[in-house]
Amino acid sequence: MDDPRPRSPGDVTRAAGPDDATARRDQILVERALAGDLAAFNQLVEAYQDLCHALVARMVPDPDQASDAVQEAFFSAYRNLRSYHGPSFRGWLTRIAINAAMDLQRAKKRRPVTPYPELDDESWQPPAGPDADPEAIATTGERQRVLVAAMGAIAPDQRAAIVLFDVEGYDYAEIAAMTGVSLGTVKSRIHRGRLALRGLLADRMELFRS
Amino acid sequence: MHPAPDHSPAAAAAEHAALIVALDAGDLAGRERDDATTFATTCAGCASLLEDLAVLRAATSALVVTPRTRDFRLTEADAARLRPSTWRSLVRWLAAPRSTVRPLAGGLAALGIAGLLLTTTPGFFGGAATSLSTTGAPVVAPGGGAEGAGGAVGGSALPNAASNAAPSAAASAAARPNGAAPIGPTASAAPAASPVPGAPGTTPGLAALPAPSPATVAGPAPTPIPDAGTVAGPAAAATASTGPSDFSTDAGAPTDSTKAVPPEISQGARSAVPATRDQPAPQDRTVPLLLSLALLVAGFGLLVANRVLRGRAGS
Repeated sequence: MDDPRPRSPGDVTRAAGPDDATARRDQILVERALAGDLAAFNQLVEAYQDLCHALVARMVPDPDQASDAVQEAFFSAYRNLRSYHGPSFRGWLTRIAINAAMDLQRAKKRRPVTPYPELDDESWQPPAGPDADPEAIATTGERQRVLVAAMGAIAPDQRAAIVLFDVEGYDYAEIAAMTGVSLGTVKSRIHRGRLALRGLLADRMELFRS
Repeated sequence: MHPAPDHSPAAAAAEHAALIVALDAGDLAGRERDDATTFATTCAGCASLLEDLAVLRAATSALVVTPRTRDFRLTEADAARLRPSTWRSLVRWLAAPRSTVRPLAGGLAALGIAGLLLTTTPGFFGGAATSLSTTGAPVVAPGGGAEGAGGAVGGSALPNAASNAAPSAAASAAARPNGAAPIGPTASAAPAASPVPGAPGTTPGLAALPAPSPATVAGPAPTPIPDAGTVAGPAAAATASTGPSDFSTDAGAPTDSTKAVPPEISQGARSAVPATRDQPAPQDRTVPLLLSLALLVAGFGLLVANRVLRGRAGS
């Protein structure tokens, strides 16, 4: 869990339904944390900080703001740990992280952001395997940079809905419950967000088709 | 009035795009799905959009984020700062953007303003007695328990007028240990010119003061009437005013007050006395005034605290 590398999309999808062993471990750690054991809570942080960061970083374009939102999410989780009554600590924490990201974006809506400047730096490339093709790596990097920029340009609500649906793999009902809006609103946000993305990337679609 | 349907090419294109994106998401069924499929097969733009949406969906799901650069574990200082306490709970409640602070503060401030208006407006609280007593309506005058006992019974204006007519005497009667009022020659010396209550031509109310006439005072009438408020006629009131000197029950106190008018007080003076005692007592308004001020200050204080703490949290 100390590996700071981002997980693959497959690792972060399907937040709902953790296995029983994980649920039992989380429950034990929560009870110890409630008894005042900070180390137990920090074990939970270690277990889920990559997940939360991966989720929030896709929703919040600014990396510093994303880190702030994740930190605030863990603060809020510690503060409200008594209100957790199961069954899934992961789902509970994910909801807190989503709310923290949304609140932070609402609070700092007008503040200009620089969406991930490291993606503008040609020296930064996404992690790749040892047998990766350099050309493919370059193409993937460019695709990521363009897509992240376009994601940062659409409305935060639409971006959050797209991330939760396409990346995290939640269904409409789960997203509606997490974000506190109706199911129709979730659908509408996803549809409009996708159309907005397509409009922003209309002249770069060849990059994605390749 | 319904707006005219938009049949412009742009509107049609937007409608087709909405159908295509819903088709791509798998949210269509029945006729809508058939229509969208038809669009996707017959319209080049729709087909291109459908293809682009699928590509973008795949790219989005494969989106890689930058590695985290921060360790989010909590320190002991963080934990100490975040542990629940009453004060922190209060501050958090005050600073919460969607808490009940604002409605509560608005309600308190509104109550405070309403209370201030009521307490400072003439006619409310103590001022009400002024307007009512001049019409002869039942009024419980402050400061005299014995008077209140008489005035509250039966709703008759007669005993109240009597009570208002001789306030000083009533007060002195109430101050006596046994509540007895002086009678006899002193009481019988009350001005005989005062109109008999209920007599033809007399006006009920303050002018119809039941000052005992010499005849009624001189009469024996030893029967005590416990409550003058139940007496319907002037004769009975006069009878009550001539009770025995050792009459000392609480119920008889109002009756005593009617005959305890000092002889040196003329009718004009008696008529002037109620005007002074009808002024609202300052202590009557103090409590509601202070309460209103406290509500107002509490309401505005909550609003200011909410605004300051929210601003601090936002910065």
